[in-house]
Amino acid sequence: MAKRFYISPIAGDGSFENPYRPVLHDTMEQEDGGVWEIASDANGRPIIPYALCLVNAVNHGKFGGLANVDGLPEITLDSTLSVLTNPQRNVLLNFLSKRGIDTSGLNVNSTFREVIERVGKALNSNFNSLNFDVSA
Amino acid sequence: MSFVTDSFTDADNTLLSAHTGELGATWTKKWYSSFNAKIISNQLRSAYLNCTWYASGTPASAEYDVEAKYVSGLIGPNDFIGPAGRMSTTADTFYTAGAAYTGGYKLLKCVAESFTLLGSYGTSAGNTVVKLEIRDAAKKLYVDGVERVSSSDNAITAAGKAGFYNYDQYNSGLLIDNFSASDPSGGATYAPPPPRPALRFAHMMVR
Repeated sequence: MAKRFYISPIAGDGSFENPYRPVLHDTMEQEDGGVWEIASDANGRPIIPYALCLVNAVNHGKFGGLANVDGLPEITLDSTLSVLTNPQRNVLLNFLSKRGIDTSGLNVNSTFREVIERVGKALNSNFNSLNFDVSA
Repeated sequence: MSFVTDSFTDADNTLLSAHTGELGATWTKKWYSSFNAKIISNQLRSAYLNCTWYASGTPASAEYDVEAKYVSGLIGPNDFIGPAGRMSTTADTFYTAGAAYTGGYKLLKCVAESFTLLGSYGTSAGNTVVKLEIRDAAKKLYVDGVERVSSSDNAITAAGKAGFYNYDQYNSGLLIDNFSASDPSGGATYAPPPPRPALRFAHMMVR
């Protein structure tokens, strides 16, 4: 089992049988686990069409073919973006910018945690990467 | 310090609405099934379909823990039962964490009847104690004392009440036991009722 961050579109209609959830949840298997941040309005409906996800799974390859699901780099939260190549960094930052997430100030010296915090706080001002986790 | 404890000790078929637990545990049904939960073998048997119940006890603040032991009964694909907190008494709004037939254990929020899945811990739900820890900083799902999911969501901020939510798809009877809700300062969880005093027989002089 390994954990990986994703940004995923949202599925569901808000009923208990079909709750709002990231699209990738429906590809998770019984033994997988995850936690996700979904921004919602006062009536519980999503107001931003993507979720930040942390998924613990045996096989992450199954998420690769999902439309508009972007897998973030498999690096530790305390790694700086310098561990990525230029193309890898550009891909990562494009995952954010194409969704309207501000990437100003993120550079090779930024940590991956700063990136996750940037995405998370775009969804929830209360977001804290230290309180965003799923058991291995 | 606990503000609700309920071992669901009562006569079989006692409706939950007529049952009183050990502490802060008279129960009110909020949503939405027309059916009633009841006591069976000193355990709580769920009502058919969607149902929320909240206990009378009042938390000291909006941060508290709610837990219950999931016993058995999950057979329908959408079956779920678990403790709930920050339950509004006027709207269908609450957080819940519990055992599910599909996907193991789930952490959800319900805001004005709209459910959002906040996270899941994937393993078959067994006979376990599920705890929902409610803090402004994080909502956490614990299974048998181990943290399994932590979410930063804080969409529901009012203290509300503690209780439970169930979805019993086929009226199979989802069973829970040993419900408790406690303020974090005391750290107390479920406390069973005191044992009955032993019977004493007077010595009899046989002449």
